[in-house]
Amino acid sequence: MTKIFNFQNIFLLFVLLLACFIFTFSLSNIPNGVYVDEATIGYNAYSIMTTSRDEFGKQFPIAFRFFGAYTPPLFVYVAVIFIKLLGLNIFSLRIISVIASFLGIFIVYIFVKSLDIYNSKYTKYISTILYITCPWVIFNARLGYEVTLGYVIFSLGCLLIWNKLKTHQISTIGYLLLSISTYIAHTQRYLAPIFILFTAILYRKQLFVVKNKKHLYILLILLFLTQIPNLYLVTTNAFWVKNTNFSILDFISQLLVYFSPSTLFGQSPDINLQHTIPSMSLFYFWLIIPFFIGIYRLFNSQKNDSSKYILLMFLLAPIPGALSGHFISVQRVLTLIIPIILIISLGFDNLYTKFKSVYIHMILAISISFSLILFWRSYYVFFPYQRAIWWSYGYQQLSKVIQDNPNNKYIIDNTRNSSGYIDLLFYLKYPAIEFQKQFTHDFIYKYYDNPPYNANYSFANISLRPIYWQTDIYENQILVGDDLAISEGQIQEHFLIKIFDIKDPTGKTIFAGYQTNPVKKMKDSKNK
Amino acid sequence: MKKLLSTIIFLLSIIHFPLYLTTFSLIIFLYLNNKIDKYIPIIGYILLFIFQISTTRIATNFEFSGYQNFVHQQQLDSYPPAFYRVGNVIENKIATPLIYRFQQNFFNTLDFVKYFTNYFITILFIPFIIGTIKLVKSPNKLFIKLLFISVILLTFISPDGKFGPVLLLPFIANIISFYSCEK
Repeated sequence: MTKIFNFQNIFLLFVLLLACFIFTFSLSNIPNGVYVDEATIGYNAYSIMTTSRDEFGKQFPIAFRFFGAYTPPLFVYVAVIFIKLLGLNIFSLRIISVIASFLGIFIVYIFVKSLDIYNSKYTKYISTILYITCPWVIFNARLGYEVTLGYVIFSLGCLLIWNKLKTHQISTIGYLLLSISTYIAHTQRYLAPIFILFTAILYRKQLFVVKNKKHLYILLILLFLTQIPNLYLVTTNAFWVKNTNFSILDFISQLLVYFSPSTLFGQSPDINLQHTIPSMSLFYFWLIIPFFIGIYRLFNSQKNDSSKYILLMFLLAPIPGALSGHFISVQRVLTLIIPIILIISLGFDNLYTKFKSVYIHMILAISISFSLILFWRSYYVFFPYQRAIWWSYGYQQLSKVIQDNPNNKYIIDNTRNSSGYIDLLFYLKYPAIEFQKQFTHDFIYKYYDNPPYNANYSFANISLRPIYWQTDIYENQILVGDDLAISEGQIQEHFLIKIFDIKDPTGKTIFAGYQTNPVKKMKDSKNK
Repeated sequence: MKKLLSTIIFLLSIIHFPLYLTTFSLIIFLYLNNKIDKYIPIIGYILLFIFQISTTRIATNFEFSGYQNFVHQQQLDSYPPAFYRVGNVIENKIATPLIYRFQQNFFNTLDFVKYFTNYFITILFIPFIIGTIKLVKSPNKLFIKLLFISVILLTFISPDGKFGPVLLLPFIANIISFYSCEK
């Protein structure tokens, strides 16, 4: 009994309970919309579950086409299980990232325990607290798409590899996890081979020894077998969609930006507002002090294998993001989270040798409490208010209107958002077998070659396309769009009658529905 | 050979510098080479600080545009009624726009990406990293102290003066030139 109720277990239980609250509180409502990446994963998982094909009708794809991204497939297949158990809703998707982030707590804890550069007995506990309260971790723990699972499985692989590496052994499971992570997210698809290559070079003396020969051969065969689907994809356009504009200058400048303290502890340079929280950095700004101390410690003990391993994880993590050649995207470098937490923990570890632990605990408790108040302000107050539109807010309400009026015909303007159809499919739980009928056999045949397709869809009582003002006003239907799609002048000219108005939390109209008046319009046209 | 390489990098790194920065960079350079007494860099630093102050509008830290005031008001309005009083305390006492301005100054000062696009040739980032590692391994106390003081002062003064973060550039120049060539 005493062994179960020791300080370590009680503390971990406390951390898990706190994490449970932070990661799951109001999970379905904040973020207060279903982002297209979530909706597309949810609907494709639902489609696989009900028809064994994706939304386009491709049977068990090895990369999901989605909007041309060809996303690695594993998250969708995992989502099938959760949708089967919990139904097609946003909770079923976001809970996967929550579970992955829970796993992340143990990864951080065991990492600190197993790396021999930490001296204080408190560091492993501090590291878990830093992990669960980190804004970047919390934000990604509450997302319903693949990025979080990707970085956690990758980090788990790194942990298992390290645990064997320090005793000059090869972790088959660790390397297999890295291989599997390439089927979760784009980042890991590029990072895993780079990481394997660099560990092989840096730790060649530990890995390539006679006693490991048999393990090495088995590992190579297993890696080859698990990579067969990717090797097939390499021969298609589907594999190369994320890095079309590579240039060495872009690569260097992006690497510098990802490592910049300003990016990590100050204002994020990511221009996609869906990726960040208002007035909140990726890590709390005050953590820059232990971060620099940690960096100092790492470079002062760089010959130590543990230091080398943290540095390796830290330095390689942003490479796929920088290779993608697009704008800065903090979601492509999530694998930085765990090495940075390890570095910050190392900074605290150093402080324990200089100051009394009670002072550090007091300062830490005050700083984290203060930071959590600021996090509450940014994430629970500002975020739903300012970022609703970035999270496809309004589609749930629109789906409700459509569902409640099955006899009405709706034309939804998709001029500025061609991906909105997926949110409607998600909320309406539209039968996948019906939706797949729109795609030809030729399209399915050329699935991995990124064939062009028409983004205008018709399903149920909905058509998603631009509004054709010459013809649409002469039919009895409801035109749906925002203030730019349907102007005040057009409302007057075509005798449109407003029947619903969906606003975002700031009061801006997202969707307004207008009933056409063909009789009056025709009469007016004749008179003219 | 080491001295020659060090001097070439030094000249390369200060190529864009105006006269006063070059002079102070040279003073630190000579000090690090044990050629002059430590009081000369301190006096030079004070002169540089005066120059930084005189070329920076410190008042801009306390000025907020109409849009910034609008955003501040919008943030206040986004609190639910039950938390409005708490929100008022947070927005007007704790997370004020002024604190964000200082925070922004601090991170702009540490934004080394900016230095290697605006003040130094990008390729010098490599000797900068090498120099930083070597500085960490064998730190010079006065150099580190003045470097830290520069970061703190620029946080409150603002690094966006007429000539940029003048207080910091000589140190970067010397990390690139002197420390990167240290054994």
